Amino acid sequence: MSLKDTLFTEAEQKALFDHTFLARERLEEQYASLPHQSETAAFGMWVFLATEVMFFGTLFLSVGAYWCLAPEVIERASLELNWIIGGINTLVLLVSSLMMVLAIHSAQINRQSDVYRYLLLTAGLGVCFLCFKALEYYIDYRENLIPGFKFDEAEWVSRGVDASQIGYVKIFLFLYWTMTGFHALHVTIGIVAVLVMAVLTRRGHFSAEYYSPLDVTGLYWHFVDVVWIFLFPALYLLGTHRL
Amino acid sequence: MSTKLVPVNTYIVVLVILLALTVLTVAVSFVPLPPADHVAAGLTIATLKATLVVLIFMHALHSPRLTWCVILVSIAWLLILFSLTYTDYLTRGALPQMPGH
Amino acid sequence: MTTATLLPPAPQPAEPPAERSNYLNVSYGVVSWLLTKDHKRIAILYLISVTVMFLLGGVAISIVRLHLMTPQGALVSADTYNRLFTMHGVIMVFFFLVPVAPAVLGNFCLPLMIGAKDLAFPRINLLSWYLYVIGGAWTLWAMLTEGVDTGWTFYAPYSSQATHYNVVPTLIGLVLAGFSSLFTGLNFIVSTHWLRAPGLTWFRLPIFVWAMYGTSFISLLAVPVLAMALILLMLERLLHIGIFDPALGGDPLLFQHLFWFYSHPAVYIMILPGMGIVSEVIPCFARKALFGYTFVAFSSLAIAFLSFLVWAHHMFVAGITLYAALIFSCLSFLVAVPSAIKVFNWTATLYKGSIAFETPMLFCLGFVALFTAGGLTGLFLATLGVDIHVHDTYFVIAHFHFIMVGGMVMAYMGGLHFWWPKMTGRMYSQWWSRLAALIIFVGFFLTFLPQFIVGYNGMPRRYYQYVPEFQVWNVLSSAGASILAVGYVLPLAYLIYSLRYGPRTGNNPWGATGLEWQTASPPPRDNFDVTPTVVRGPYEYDTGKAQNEP
Repeated sequence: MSLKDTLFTEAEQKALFDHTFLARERLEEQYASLPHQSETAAFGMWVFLATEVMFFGTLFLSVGAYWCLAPEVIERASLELNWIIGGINTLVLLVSSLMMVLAIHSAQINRQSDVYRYLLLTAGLGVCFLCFKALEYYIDYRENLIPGFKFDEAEWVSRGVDASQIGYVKIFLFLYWTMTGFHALHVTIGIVAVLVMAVLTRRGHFSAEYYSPLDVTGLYWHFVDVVWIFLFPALYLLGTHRL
Repeated sequence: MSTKLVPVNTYIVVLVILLALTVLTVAVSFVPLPPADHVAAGLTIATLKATLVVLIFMHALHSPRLTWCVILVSIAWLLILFSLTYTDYLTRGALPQMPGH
Repeated sequence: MTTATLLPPAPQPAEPPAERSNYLNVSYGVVSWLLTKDHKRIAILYLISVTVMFLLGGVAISIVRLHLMTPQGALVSADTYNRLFTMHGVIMVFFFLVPVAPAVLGNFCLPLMIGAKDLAFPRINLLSWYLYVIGGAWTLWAMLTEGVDTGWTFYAPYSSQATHYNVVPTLIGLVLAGFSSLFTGLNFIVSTHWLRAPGLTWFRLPIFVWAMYGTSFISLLAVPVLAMALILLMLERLLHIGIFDPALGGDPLLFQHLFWFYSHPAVYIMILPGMGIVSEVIPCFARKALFGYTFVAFSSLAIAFLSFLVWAHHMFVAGITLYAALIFSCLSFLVAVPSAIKVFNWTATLYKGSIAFETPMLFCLGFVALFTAGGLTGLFLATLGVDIHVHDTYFVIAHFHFIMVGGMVMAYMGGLHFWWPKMTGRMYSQWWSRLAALIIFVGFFLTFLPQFIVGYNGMPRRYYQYVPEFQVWNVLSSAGASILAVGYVLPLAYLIYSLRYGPRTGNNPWGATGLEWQTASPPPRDNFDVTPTVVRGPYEYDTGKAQNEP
């Protein structure tokens, strides 16, 4: 129990907070109250995420369209992707989501130092994800998986792909780069947002009554996780792997 | 904020389920199946996982009805985009093309 | 005893009333405008930039119309011709029609109509204007230096491989403009849900707000698809990896699917706000409540929904399967239902109304007539068999110009004239504005009616030359276009004139019932001195309480 908690009742703390410079600055004039503003912000983020669903959905649709046209070739191409790193990254992102949700939980019960710690862990796991991703991209580079830049058609013919269908392999790999690239971009934005939130937490901007930016950042971070949850099977697990 | 406080244990249980489902989806990819079944299995498990993340981690479960509307609309529009586009792709070669081609 | 003579107090010398503090005079200077978070100022910023774009797009098509006066087309080279009609299409669609009503009239009126002090996210609102301006400037630069000759549709593989013009910069500009309209939509949806004044239930909202809601809904769900399609196109062009190019194994129809998944609903992004404006103006000048409010409100949402189910009717002859074409043809007919509901309800509102032919009303009546004609010809195009005949002819051009120009631009002009006194506190010349409405209506008919005829007779769109039989229709069309141009320049003149010399108006010059008319003209920075409490529906003209002009 902090000193603040012993000196003031919860209602008094709330009243005090509502009259501080910070609280007044945060409440924008078009809102009736801070909860009103917080709920609106969360709703705004949900609506934004709906647009993101369509953004990534378009790419999934493209993969699906080419899968409809040439399932066997797409399956063969998918087998060359590095599912081990992809799988590890899935786990990393899932754990980072837990860290994010624990940060918000700590904010709800007003343990600001825990919020800070969990946010740093979230961002750290995000960086970890990007490092694995970079490693994977490097391996892809070594294995000639970059159409238009480093790509060997003869290799694919030797893997049993008909020469006339190499185009589908290239398209699949191109979509793989685009999708993971856009996802990595979102992770990067997420890491920056989480770090900003960590700094704000450190400076005492948040309380159990007001942690709306944290909440909104959390929604974004989990969404990025959801995208990867679909990306992983849609790109890496299309074919039958062998040990 | 009006968000209901969810016990930490719930989050941890959900994470364990998510990790387990990830292992499961990788395991399924080792079972020899036709391409369509791999896609179906992968997407089904992914949908399960995403549902858990959205409901528990994103607190959709305790969110106002409005948030549910946004979620349902985004799913519905994704389905519109997919189903109507695939009326074309899935019927390629199955029926004659428009006259003049 | 004194007889006190009780004199009435001597009348005070009438002081000129000090000008109230309003959003225009609350602060001065360029910076106060460029960094404003006030939705009303952002609307004015948009008004200026959108007007500039409209004039540029107009200049491009004027040259095209001049060129088409003769069958050989002696004015510009074929290459320039292609770049001109592309410039016209790109500017008019992405930088005028899509943003115009939401970003100008919506930005200004929506918060006033819902009784809010501002939109939910004012910073994002300002950001959306910057995205628009940067995207617009970027696209203009690309089109004025080298140009693009793909048409506004950017069909792959021509756009991705064959053409050697400035496709990539243009696309970047379009993606930015797309996000601008997306952010506007986000703001509108969130504000309508969360910032309504006390007592303002959903069924007390003006139809304009419902229309904006539908428009925003479409923007939010369709723009990301377009953005991604254009990004893929850029990548294909830059990296020469086929995703749409059949020579590289890609499927060009995929681009068309994605493009029209946005661009067909975008037609409703353009027309829905027009329907909203008309639903405000007609009750006001017929002095009658809008007939069938609930039907009109829900038909806006129905149009927003159905607009997503019809996109492949642009691709009937592009090689999609017959099965898909059948489905899309059937679905396309459905859109006619909510559109017809609206037209019937507007007509029923006029019935036995006390109609005043003020300028906004003239524009809106023009809208109803032209939109109906455009909508009905749309049914021809939704019919598979007929579409094969008229696909990519001037029939299509005439059809969508009836909707876009005859419908939307008329409605926008109506809305601008309707809310101009609210935006500026000044009234424009009634005589000149009625004349402008008339000129635009006549000029429009003369421009586009001949195009239906040449199109039906087989003149393809986008052609540089044509067979001599079509010349008389093309000359008529060009003549109409010059009349139309006069009609568009006139408002520019008398509206600007009114800013300084127009008489000051009261708060409610039209005697309208909307919430926006209850505050001062121009409104104060915070829109309302006291947050209003709403106790009535939006169109209670019959009750006699409407004229609350002091």
